[in-house]
Amino acid sequence: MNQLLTSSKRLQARASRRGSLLLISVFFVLIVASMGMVMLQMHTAQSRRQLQATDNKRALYIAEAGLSEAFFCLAQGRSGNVGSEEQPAQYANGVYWVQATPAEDDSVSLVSTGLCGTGRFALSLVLNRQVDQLGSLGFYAAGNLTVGQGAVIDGYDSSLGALSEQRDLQLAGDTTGSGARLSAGGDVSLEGTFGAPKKGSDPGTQIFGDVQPGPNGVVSQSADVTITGSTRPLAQQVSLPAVDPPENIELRDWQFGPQGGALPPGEARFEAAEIASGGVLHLEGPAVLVFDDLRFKDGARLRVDSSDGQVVVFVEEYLELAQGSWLENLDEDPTGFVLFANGTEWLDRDGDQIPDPPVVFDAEGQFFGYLYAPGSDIVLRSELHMIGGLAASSLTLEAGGHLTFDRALEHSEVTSASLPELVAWRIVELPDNDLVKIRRDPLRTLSNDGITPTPSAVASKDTHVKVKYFDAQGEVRDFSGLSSDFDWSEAQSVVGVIWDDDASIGDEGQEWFAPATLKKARVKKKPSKSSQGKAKKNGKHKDANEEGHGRKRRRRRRGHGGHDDNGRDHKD
Amino acid sequence: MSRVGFGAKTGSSLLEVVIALTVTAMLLGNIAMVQRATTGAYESSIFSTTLEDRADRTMDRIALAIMSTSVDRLDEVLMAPSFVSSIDYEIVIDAVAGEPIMGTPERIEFDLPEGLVIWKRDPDTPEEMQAIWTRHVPKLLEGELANGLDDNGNGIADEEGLAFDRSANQITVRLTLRRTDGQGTEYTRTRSRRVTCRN
Repeated sequence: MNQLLTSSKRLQARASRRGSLLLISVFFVLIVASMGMVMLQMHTAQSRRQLQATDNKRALYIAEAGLSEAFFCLAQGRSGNVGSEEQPAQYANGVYWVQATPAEDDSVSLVSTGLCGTGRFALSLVLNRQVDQLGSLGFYAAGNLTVGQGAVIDGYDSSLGALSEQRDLQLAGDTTGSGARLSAGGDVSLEGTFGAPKKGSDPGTQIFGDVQPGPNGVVSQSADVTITGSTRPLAQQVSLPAVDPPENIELRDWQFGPQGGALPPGEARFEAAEIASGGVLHLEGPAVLVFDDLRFKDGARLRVDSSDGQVVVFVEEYLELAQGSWLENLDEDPTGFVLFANGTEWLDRDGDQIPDPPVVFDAEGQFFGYLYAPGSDIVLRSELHMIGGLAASSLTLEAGGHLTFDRALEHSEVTSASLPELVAWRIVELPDNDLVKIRRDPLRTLSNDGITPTPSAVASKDTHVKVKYFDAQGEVRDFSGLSSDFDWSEAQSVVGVIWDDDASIGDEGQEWFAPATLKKARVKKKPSKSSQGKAKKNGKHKDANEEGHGRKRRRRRRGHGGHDDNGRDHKD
Repeated sequence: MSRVGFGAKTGSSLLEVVIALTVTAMLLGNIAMVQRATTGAYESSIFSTTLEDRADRTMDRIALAIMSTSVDRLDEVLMAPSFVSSIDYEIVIDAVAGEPIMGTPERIEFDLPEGLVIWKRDPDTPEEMQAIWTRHVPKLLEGELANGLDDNGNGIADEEGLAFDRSANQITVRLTLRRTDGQGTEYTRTRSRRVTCRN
């Protein structure tokens, strides 16, 4: 009986110990699981930090992509706004929008906000809309520059009115008394009046403005030379790249005789043309004309009418404006006529066994325009009053000559640079915006709100456009309407565009804008700070004074198609 | 017969106890080994990741500083194969009347004795502020020996743990971090980035 009782107790004790191993196992499992949880949590936190860093980098690059898109829009003449806070643009797996704010000084501030995953980044880019880096150098010689005795150098601003309205009547010599700009890559030599002392009415050589030699050059001047501005050297050498004419311009037969004729607006290429004494070649803008050989003999005239658009003439091999030939610009607007003389070789052109220079520029009269002759040594005669600007290999102004620089050339891309110029890039604070503040994937947030972001390529807000262009036949054409309705392949090259975000193209203040081209983008070197820093007075909108002058405020520009795709470097 | 049956069920033999203890000891040993291995691997992973994080974060900071300045302000940065281990720069803080406005001078320097990358504002002035961006920077970049030769084949000889060199308007930054954990294992992480000055 006792044994039975004992056995029963043992059985009860054994039963009470059942499951103890399970408890121990659970205990161990819990320890391992909790360690796993802690590890997982730490690993998740680590991953989150890495993801955040990656998202921030992506947001930075998306914001930079936004700046690039806005830069491209600005180069085309648009406002620079891309997308908006309400309707951002989608780029890769993120979104961005760019807000453009124009300033009084013709600069534009772009603020691009990029969002990707939980990453956020805002960047600011301040750009000067347009600076013609060669035009802003005034009369420029890549080598040495010589000014003969008794010369007068001054300047004016054609965007503010006619030259005659800006003359200082108190001064002798028919001068404005300000605004001159002479610069050189080498030395500048200024010769005074014979017999050194200033006497009576002979004022000597007068330069009403700046004279800048090259970085290693000097300004040498003899007696009776007056310089009212700075003689500080240029900060760096400015090279003169070749500017090629637009491609695919149809070659045509020269249909005129030695007495010349009138060429209508459009694009055309000719092998050779010669205008004899008494003959007149009349060019009407907008036009882009290419000649291999162009000669104006004594008594011949080149007459330019740029009232409806810029006239651009390329002379590829030989340009002769013989002594006694005349240059006329009926509109008297230096930005309306640009002459590119690309020849570089000395060859016998007239059969006298003596090599002739690639450019003979002995014309007389008043030349309103810009001459670009990077491979030529130019000598300007005293009978020519050149009004506008010039760039050549070297430049000599004969005694008694007169040069007048047009400050409007600084920001009318007559030569080579019309891409906006970078002023400042910086990181800025994120805007106070719900999409920015909510640290979630912006694409998901927008989707939840029923908003579909616009693809980056079509996110630019301006959709209406007016285009003046040359077609494949070189004829001038116009288009006005939605940019999506325009077949851009029809335009061989674009003369000008006007963009607007509503349909009211042609409003007061809207101006033609020539899109940037690859060729124009080739000049990269900056001129000196002083020339960059000059205030830009002919802003985008007309003011009352300009209207009062009744002067046409056209910005006729040359466009060669093939829009440049923003050369900005986006490597980190 | 009944007694035999009860006796078999009422106690554990010595053999059973020994086996049980052995199994338990093996289990515990295994758990300890697993825990030790896991902890070691985890520590190693954390150590390595932390070092990578730190290298990336420091490189990001340096890159953003260089992006915000102008290459004209980095004259002292030499073209490869020369290098410098500290840069003085100013970042653009605004633009007024078409001209950039620069901020106060800043410096990123390598403190060789301490192995630190230090950022300074208004360096060498009474208003100097500084922050340590990272520690554990070795004397020489990974793979480099102090022998006057380019041991790691990056075009620069005997470059320090933080090195800057330039090409045109780009600055190349090289950074190595090195740290040894409790087990004596050495971890080295190197970052190299070419940064374009935006201004």
